[in-house]
Amino acid sequence: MALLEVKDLQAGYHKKSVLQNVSLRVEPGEFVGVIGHNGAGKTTMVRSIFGLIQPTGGSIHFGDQSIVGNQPAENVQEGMAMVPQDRAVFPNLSVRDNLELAAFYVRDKAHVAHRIGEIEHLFPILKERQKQLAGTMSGGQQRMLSIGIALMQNPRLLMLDEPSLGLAPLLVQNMMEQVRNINQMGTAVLLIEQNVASALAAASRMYVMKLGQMVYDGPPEKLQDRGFLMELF
Amino acid sequence: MEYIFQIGIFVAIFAILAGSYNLLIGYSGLFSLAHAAFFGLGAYGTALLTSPESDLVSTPWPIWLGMLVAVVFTALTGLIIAVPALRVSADYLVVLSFGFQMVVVGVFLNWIQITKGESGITGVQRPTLLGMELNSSGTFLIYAILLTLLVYYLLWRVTGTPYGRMLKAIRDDQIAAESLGKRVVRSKIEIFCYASGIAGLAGAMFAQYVRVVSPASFLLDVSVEILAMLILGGTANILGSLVGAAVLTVLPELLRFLDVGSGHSEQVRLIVFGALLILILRFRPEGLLPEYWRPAWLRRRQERAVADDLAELRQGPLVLPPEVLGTTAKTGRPAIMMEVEDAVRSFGGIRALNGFSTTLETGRITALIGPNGAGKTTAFNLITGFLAPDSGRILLAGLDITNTKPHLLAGLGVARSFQNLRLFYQMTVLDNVMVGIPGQKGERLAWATVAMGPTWKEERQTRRMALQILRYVGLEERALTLAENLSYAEEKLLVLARMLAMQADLLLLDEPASGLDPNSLDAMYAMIRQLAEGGKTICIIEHNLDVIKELAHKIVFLDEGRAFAEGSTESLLKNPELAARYFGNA
Repeated sequence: MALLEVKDLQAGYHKKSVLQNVSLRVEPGEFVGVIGHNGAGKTTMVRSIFGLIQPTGGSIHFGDQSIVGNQPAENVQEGMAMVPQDRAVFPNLSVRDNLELAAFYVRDKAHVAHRIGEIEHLFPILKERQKQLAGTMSGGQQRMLSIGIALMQNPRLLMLDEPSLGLAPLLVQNMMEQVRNINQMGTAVLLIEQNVASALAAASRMYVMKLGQMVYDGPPEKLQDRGFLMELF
Repeated sequence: MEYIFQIGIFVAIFAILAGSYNLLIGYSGLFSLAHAAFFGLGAYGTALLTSPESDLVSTPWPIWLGMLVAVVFTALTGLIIAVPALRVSADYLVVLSFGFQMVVVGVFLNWIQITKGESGITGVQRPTLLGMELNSSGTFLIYAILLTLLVYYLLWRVTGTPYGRMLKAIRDDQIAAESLGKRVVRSKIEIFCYASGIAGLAGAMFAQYVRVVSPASFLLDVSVEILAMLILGGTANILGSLVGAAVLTVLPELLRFLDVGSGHSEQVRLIVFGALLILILRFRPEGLLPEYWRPAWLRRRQERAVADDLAELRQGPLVLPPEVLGTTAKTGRPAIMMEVEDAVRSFGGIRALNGFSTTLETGRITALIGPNGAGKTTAFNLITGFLAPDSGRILLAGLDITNTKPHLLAGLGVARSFQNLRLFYQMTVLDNVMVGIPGQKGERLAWATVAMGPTWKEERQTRRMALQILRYVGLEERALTLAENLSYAEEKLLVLARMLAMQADLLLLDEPASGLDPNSLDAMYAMIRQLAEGGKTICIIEHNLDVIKELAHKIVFLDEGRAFAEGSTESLLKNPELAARYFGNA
């Protein structure tokens, strides 16, 4: 049974339909990438899955449960975490407080401290600046914190919406490496990316989205052919 | 009949109050609680100058003169709050205006010698219009209607012109407005005094009608009532204020006829009134007439104007207006457009810039790169005047511009974009670009108010220029869309378009390409290259290596607060130290 199964999803904003019968699935422990041009509907899809937008049609199953109509908080409790496109941090809380708050639903508090340590190892600047107010950090640093926040929840499925935006290349590499590690330890990953190269390097299966529909579902290797890729876009 | 005339007069008074308050709250984002105080100052001023009972003047002044002086006086008292409050954040205005409201009522109550305290001043004279003294409610109503029409004309001259557009931009994002060259503090002070003066005019009319002024009419709850009217009617919609004032003045009167008996009718009335208000706002939170609501004929006319301009532009080449491109002759510009010398800037304990120096050359694209938090945006903030360096100098074409304010730098030809876009989301795409165009006389309050013909002419030219820019970036189809409804890529294009509107020579782009797909990127590359070839000086903060490889003539690598390395793209990419610090295995 797939961990995440999206079938014929329709959704949009202000009477404008963005997703036209989108289907996607993520198996437990899989690393799935989604690429596509701007306006294709990638962010809309992730937000619909997470519960920030109500779909107008289709189904979404997480495990054996239908999650259409769920509030994001319910999805988080089920083990879904999302790193949104804007740097979603609590600006008036310190870095450390942000991370601790993220573990709100985690029962084992000793584990929380250990987890924070792991995340600080991944992003050393978060340890360095742990007392600093999140809102005063630079854009890229806030992005790192928001990824840390998602990881705190030890999710079954980690969804990342263009996490490389605004990050220095070295950091993108480090981050992708850590996301791959997390994936290898059992967390399924759904990665939306504009940075095609890093998505292709990390994912085991790729979707290409265009104008609200999936136009490719298959191995990343085929997409290395730039001509083929451009056609899909 | 008398009763109906009376309601009509009060509708007029409150329409003037609500409309002027809307200028502050809806259009400018200035949340003041003192509108009732200004209403009272106008009323008391008129009473004190024109009533025979007044102890301020030995003989009453002519009515029109007294009224005029009262209104001007009220506008000038606006400065008392405006000057201190508007230099700092908007939160201070709430508190200061609240205090002012209390103090003014306190003066009305306690300066008994002059204001006669609680009992107030009686005997205010009715004005004489065309030889006829306005003794009856009926005749006064005509006067009231005329005054209301005049005020609404003045309100329209403010809101429907470039000045009003500028106010909305300041409201939506003050920092972005400053970066476009708008004189934010001055405009806020101006409009505050203007709106207060109009409130004073309502007060004068009130005093003339009721013929008695006493403190009880000008308490804080009157400010709140007027606020309710403008919120109900629709913030940032002048017609809405008229509607809101009418509804909230007439409705309580209608409810008087709701006979519940047993002496609870007043309370029941209030409950029904409150419930209706809640219902209306629940289902129409923007108010009855939302900000962008226009009567259908006006909307069609606007759409047609845009369509006509576009049709004409489409017959020509796809090129930026000459004012935006500037002179292609490079002789007019110096070779080095900008120099930063040893800039140092700390925030608390953290030294963001520690002796940062660099130069930006005319006609070339410099990429400013570096690890996250290295100080790139801080450097931009120093160059554009949003922050002052602790030490060091910044020179623009040889001119020392260290510590110069952002709006002045915009006037000197420095344009910047922001990492978090800072678009004016409650305004249309077209308005976002139009507000960026410099030198609009219609952005001066006096000009906008009196020079109708020239303002329209200038506006047509501004609109054409803006549409030409939108066409160049590929956004012309979205001209009348609200910025908040754009996709991310469209937002990035709008940021560029708004910058181009500034006709600047130095363009500082903060991550212009992040989040764009290959097609959008190609379009942006072409535009940026063309701008550099045309003689613009361009500096880009970017992380995307493809963008840097495509565009940059020179790279400045910022790390540890200084220009750690500087040179051509190839040489820096091969540098092993930089690979370890930043590039990784690129």
